[in-house]
Amino acid sequence: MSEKKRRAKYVSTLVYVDEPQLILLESKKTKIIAMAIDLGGHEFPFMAATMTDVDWRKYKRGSVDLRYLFAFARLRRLYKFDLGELNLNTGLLMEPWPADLPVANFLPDSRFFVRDHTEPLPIVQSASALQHFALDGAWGLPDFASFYNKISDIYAFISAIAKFKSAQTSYDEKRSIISAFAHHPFRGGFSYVNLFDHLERLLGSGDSLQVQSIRYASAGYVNVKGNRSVFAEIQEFINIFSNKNEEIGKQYNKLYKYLADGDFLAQDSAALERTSPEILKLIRDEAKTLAHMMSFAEFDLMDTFADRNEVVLAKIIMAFYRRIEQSFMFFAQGRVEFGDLT
Amino acid sequence: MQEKSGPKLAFREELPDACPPPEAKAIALSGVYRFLPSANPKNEHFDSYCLLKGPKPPPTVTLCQWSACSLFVTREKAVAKIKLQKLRSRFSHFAILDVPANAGYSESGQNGHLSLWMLKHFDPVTAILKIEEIGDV
Repeated sequence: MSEKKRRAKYVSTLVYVDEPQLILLESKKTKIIAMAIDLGGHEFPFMAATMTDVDWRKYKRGSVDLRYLFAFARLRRLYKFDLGELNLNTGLLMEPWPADLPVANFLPDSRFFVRDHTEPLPIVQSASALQHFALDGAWGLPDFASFYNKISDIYAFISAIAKFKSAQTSYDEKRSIISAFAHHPFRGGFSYVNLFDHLERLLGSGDSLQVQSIRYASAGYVNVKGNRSVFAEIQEFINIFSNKNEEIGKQYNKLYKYLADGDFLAQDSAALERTSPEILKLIRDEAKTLAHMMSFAEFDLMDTFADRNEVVLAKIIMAFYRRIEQSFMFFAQGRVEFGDLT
Repeated sequence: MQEKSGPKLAFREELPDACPPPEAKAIALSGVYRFLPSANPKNEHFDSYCLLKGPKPPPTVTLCQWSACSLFVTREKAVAKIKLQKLRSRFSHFAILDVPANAGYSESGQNGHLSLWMLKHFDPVTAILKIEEIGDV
């Protein structure tokens, strides 16, 4: 258990039902999750738990539930405080959780996930960072271009979602992002390259991935500059593939077969009209399973982008899958390793 | 749709200026969910925390938001929230009610949450269609 009082600042409300029920705080760079509790002697009592960056990212992705953060997360420290004492400028002082107060009586039930929030997650503009990729083995120029393009596509995809969810993004910019996702995958003669190129253009030079330095040799390296949290997400996706690439690949093939059998791969819009609701539901369910296996937490947002069109939705998820899988193969072949993120 | 401004509109609770917000609409809400502490609904179960706890909200909450009544558009959206400790310890039932368009102004939040500012003439208890026990979730 923690021993000292700790000052924390309010970041945002995550669940609001008549009053704040779940909020996010920050103490220096440590994220703190805090849930309203029923405890006498306070006006607005909360139980708080510190989180590692890894656990906070897992929670944001829907990989762990709220109970995990309070009951099981590594290195967590528990506190209590009264939200009524918060000063928006200076924050509030959290007291260590009292040893005589059984934590178990205050824990949230299991299976409360990020999807259950009533308020959007804050988009923290993390400082730009340099991601070092160490290269080894034989590299031709086409290999290098292929690797960089795939990473760049994944980067644009994740960044565009973050930009869409940001409160700082204008309505018009959000419309443009929706349009990029919704219209490319179902357009005649579609090339998926168009979607990712479009997303990269929308991000603009300020938010796009930039090559900082390259040593094109064996062994060599490439340093790319971008957003720290996006780099961290890319690494997590690659790690997930390194653990269950075959399993995810089987799910992709299953979904691909449904689309091929329905003539959807050729972007035949007429095919959708003659497809039964049962088949479309199947496509949606299989696409959801694929997204889940990849720990891709934005399935519902993609569904909105796709305007509830099952085929467009599936194609977006599959396009994202292919970029990660193709990038992952460079790591699996021992030709690339994640280096420092500085 | 009624105009929010003007002297004729009497809300159930005293509201601050510019409340309800411009995004709030006078629309009918069909089969929406409200948490109840028991199977016997009372008018006060629909009071805002402003009325229940006083007009000093936590610093993160505006007085307008503090003066609203939280509802959910589906059982699924509502039941997820009961996993949070304070809600679980206080509420045992749902009221499912129809809110007519002339009952007040509502604003849709994210993920099925609604904030409702009721007009004085509206009696939410009589608008209840059904009471359900929350049970295990």
